Amino acid sequence: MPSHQALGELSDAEVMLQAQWGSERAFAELYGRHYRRLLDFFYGLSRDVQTAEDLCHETFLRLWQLRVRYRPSGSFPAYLFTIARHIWMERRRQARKENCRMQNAECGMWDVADVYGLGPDEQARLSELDDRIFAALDNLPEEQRMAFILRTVEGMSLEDIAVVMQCPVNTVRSRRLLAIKRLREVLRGLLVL
Amino acid sequence: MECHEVQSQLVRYLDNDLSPQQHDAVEDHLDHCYLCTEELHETVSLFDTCRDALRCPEARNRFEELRPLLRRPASIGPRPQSPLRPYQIVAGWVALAAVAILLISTAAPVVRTIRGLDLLVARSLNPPEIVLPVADEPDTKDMPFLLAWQTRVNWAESLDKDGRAGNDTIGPRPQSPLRPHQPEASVPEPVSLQVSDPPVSERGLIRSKTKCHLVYETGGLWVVAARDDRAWRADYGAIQI
Repeated sequence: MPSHQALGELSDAEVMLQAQWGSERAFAELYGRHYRRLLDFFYGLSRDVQTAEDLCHETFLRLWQLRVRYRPSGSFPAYLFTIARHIWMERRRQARKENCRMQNAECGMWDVADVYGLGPDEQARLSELDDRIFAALDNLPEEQRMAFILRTVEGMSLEDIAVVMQCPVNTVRSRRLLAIKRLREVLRGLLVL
Repeated sequence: MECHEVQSQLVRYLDNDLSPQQHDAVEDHLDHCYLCTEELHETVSLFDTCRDALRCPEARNRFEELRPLLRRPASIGPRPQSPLRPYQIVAGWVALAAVAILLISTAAPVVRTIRGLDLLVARSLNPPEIVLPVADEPDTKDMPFLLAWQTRVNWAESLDKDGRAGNDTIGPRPQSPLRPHQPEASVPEPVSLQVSDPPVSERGLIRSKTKCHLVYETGGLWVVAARDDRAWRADYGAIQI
């Protein structure tokens, strides 16, 4: 078994291969490396810290359960965020069903704030700018929002995003550009140069 | 480069997603254009603002909560639900069936060819086309091999459907003219047949009730050919002796 320091020097794929053999320490290393990015990803989508933490938890648990299927053929972050995206979609479908049942009426537009709800403290904490950003993001189609967050917040490469979103790289480019255009329109005048 | 072109490339410029030539062109333009530089700063500011706003304010490491769950017996959990809708699944199956039918209809000639593999092999050896006028059909009188073969063919064709001799005059099955002379160790390789210009040393015709065969010897092999309307073709392959 390699020492903890040696584990830190290994690539994500190598650490994951150790985790595949049941090494909890290797898995803890991966958790440490990617938890923050994953948390930001889910927070950007859900606007709720608790939800983001739960989804992160679920993603890592799914990664552990699926570890035997892992093949080090591509980028590890792309693999991890693909799982994360599927979990987000599952949660969204589930929430949409509940939303439909509760409202028993139109369930067209997905509104994160409606489903997860924001407490008064949370709402007070958000500045006007943040509100505008989140409002603008909420009004974006899901795929544009995800492309924007993965590239701008997570700093993933366009190729990795294409793997995560299961679409061509040019589609990722155009989705992101549309999202930026929309955000610029909404935030024009509020940005500090 | 015009301002509107540069402004449409700014995001890709920031991503380092442009070719070196385009990158240099955008940089050259930005050096002297105030408006586009302003636009660039606004884009950078937008990214920074969004990055800050979308970053989760609390990051609590919950790995210790996860650890007990890791020690559970390994399972891959429930199968994720298909993202396809039922009508999409049905359409997919219909498309698959159409493709399968298309493939089968395309593959039918190939299957037929494989069934006639002997023909395929014979043709792959590039058999000679021996054009013989019908008047030149060789005589088989002095060719004991051909006579023996003729006897065997006649006997085989006189069998009834159940494979029994049709009458008492047929007698026992004649021995193959090939086998007594076929020591296993000395069987030549079939691919050694040189067919471009066969040195036909001996050849003859075998007539039966249904077919007419031309037999000739070349390079230690007996080739049995069949006749079509115009020419003899060594379609039946070679017999090693």
